[in-house]
Amino acid sequence: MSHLTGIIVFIAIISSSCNILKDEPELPFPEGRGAFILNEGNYLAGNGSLSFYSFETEKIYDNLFSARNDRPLGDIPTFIAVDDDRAFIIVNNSGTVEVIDLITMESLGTITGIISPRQMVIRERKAYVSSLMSDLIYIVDIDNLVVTGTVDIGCNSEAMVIAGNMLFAANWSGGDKITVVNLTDNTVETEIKTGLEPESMVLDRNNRLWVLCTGGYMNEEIPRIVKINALTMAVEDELEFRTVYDNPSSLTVNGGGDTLYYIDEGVRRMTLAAATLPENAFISTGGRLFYKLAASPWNGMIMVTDAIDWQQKGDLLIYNRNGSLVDTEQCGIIPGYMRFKE
Amino acid sequence: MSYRGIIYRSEFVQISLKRLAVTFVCLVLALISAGGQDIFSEDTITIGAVRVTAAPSIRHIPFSTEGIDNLSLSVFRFDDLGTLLQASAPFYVKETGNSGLSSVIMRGLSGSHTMVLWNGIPVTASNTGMADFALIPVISASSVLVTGGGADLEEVSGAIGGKIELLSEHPEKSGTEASLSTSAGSNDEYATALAVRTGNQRVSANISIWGKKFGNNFLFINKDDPGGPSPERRVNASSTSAGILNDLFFTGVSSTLSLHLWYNLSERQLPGPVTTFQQNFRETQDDKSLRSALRFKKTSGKFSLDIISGFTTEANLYNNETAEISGNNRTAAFTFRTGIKYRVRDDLELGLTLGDEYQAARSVSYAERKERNLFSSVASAVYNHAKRLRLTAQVRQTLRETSFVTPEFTAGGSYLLSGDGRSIIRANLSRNLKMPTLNDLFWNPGGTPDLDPEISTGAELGYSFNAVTTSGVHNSADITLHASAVKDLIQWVPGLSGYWTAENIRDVKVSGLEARIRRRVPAGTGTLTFGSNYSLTRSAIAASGVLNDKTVGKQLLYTPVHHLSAEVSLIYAFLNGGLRLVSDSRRFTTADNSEWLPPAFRLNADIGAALPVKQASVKIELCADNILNADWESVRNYPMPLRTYRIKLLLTVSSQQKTAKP
Repeated sequence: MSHLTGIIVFIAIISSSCNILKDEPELPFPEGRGAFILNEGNYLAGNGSLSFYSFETEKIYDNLFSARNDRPLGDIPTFIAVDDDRAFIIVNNSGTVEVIDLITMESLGTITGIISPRQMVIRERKAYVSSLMSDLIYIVDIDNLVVTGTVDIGCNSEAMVIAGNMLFAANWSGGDKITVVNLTDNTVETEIKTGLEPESMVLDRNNRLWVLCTGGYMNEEIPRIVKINALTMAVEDELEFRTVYDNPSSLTVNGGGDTLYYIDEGVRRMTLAAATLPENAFISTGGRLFYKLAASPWNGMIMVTDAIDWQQKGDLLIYNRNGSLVDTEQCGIIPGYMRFKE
Repeated sequence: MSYRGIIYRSEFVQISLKRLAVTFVCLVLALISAGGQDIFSEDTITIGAVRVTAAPSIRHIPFSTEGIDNLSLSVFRFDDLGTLLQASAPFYVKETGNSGLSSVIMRGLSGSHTMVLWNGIPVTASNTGMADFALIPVISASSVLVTGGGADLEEVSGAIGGKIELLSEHPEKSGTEASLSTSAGSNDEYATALAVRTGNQRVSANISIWGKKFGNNFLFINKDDPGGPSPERRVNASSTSAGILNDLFFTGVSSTLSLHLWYNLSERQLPGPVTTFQQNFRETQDDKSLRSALRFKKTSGKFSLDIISGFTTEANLYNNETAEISGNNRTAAFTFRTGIKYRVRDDLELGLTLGDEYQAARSVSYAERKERNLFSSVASAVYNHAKRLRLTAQVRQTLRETSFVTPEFTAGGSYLLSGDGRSIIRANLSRNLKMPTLNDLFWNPGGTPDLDPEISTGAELGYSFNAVTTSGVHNSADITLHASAVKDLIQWVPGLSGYWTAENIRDVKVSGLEARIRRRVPAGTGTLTFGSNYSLTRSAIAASGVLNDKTVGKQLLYTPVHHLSAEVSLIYAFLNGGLRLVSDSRRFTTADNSEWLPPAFRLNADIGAALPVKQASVKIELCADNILNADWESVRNYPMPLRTYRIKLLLTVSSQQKTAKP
């Protein structure tokens, strides 16, 4: 009898352990520092995906969204905004914002009703979403996951930065300006003229906006980086590239807000005080075609994506603070936007 | 179903398709064997009892050319050319949604590698190099010839994937015949056509007018809906189209002059992809085309002359209301080709063909109006030995603007294995070219004016069987093995300049098998027909100029390894009915073959009755497409309809009497 009791107790313990294990959600990637990578996928194919590169294991973990939610992420995911333990993934050509748990990757909702969303910034309990194919900036209630309003800025928008009470929206596709929206009453405060097609924009530690203008899709003018005082809205400097055929992109800033990086025949690095653009690449291309760039906020690591021919899985290249390649990992198709995670 | 589930299922079906392929080949061999046994097991049957019915000119040429049979042309009369070929030829047709842009994948190469001719003049647009098969109604031709590969160098310029010829043929009967047909189907589909043919042996005319209106708001399953798979109706997918075609034939003792005119227009909404939710960018496309062809054929003694002259103009107006993008693309082409053949001896014929193709295009994506002239000369020789062996040689030299391109050649032959012509083997070796399209050359930005032509070097080996037994059973079978190496494939790749450019960037190796079998059995007062087409195509990247390219060795996009179509139809007394299936193995949607569409299988059925009333006949037909309700896509995220129905009515009044074909 005592044996029988023992067996029953043993089975109960095992069974209970199994239940505990079963209830524990299996994490799709290791804890610790790393970076999310959005793979845009092929245009119209709806095969965008989410990957995570772990600095702990130095490995990449793919298809996080689809594996957890049994459906693809969508067509051309372009941006991730984070609010505490939630991530808002902008899926441009699906016209959605997918909201997920940042740890489990479980879908918490899908925001719809936005024409061609591109990027998102969050302030208090509101998010602002730029749009490639409309003149609107969408205002989203991030608690109820619904669009609550719009701001008509009269042109399309791409990169956005919030400084103080002002939202700066870059008029990238065919445009040449930054629209400033006063967030107190969601009205257009002013417009700041830049070079053609302001593609990327960052705010440094001195409240200066740095805007990279590509010079136009058809090489209409020499690309430039424009420095704007975010408090006075005055253009303080313009740094021109070499020729109209230069194709710079992906301006980013390090965690300290004192060093700028961008792609221009490799990765170039410059300080805030630089009077001219750097002559030489900090990281050479090695024959690759660099697509997107991100600078780690903690360890000086630089991450670059190579979309190869945009028809197959691309590569993630990780460089240390000295510009030496330390790891190469295969990602999904057209690896693009990267967001670091503590 | 999860994506993993789809993948597992697709692998299972993939295995099944391989078995199907083996079964199919066995079936072909069995049929050939059965046909042969039927002939030879009955000793009392003399060889003279065997009647070869296929056109010798097609079966004897050393290329893989096949005519689409009249039954298929009749069944698909209200459909577009893509739908016809999908079911009646061993080639995969890629459709961007139902009634959307449609192109054929021949010999593993994309639609721009296939040449489409209408009465000898190209229908392929010179800017894209493609013909939209959704815009070519089957009713625009009285016969369709399909040639796999580019070995036939007869035309002004080549296509390395294959050639599709739409022909308007002189009526076989004298008198007048008028037919009015109309159909209505699911999802607000309505079509009507009027065709009148009249004439005699000397002069005849054909005029056809047709129109179609299609709501196309069909039901599909959205598998990517965040709330789980859900049924939805397609939006922004309607289309209307209309056309008029006129043929005139003047026939002399040894000559024929024919004039052909065709005006076609269509207005289509372009539905967006279904990614998470159904997209609607409020895109539309209007297409208009006017084509004319003049053909003169004359035979005099040892000479034969064939002159083709034609002009086409096309307009393509695109609008994306959401993105505020509009396009206005216009092309024009003038074609002139004259061929003369001289029979030197009874067993030797020499030929010379001179041709010119002038292409012009205007687009918002070109800096200015662009034009190109291609002039080519083709020298050919055909040698017949002992009535069994027929050898063919062709050499084509093309002058592109002011510079010569690499010469092309074909050497081939056919041999009658049996004196009655039932069994023929044929083979050829060839090297042929495909010119860059005007978009490849001049698109702004990214077009590359100094692109080289794509070069295909390959070989074909084929076997053809065709016989009618004394009991009236008609068996035919064709098998073609092919292999080719394509160098300098033109693809658009991203460049340092920030935009994509056209480059001769990859090499491709193509190999495969194409098979067709057909068996027609008299059944009382009717006929039972079984037919099937199968292709096995391996089309893989062999070399690449792209750094870190992981696509080498991978199958090209949207090229199924297996394509199978089959039909069983019965005509008995005044009734007719048929079952038709089309099946494709998985189609890769990424260049590294990491993603694909699962295998697709559709089964269609039709049943009808034909009631003769004096000189008239009334035919009514009920059709059900995709009767198994298969959820499938031809292009990723562009769902195709579940089960649909159609009813067709055809009224024919005729005073025609059969006369000898001129």
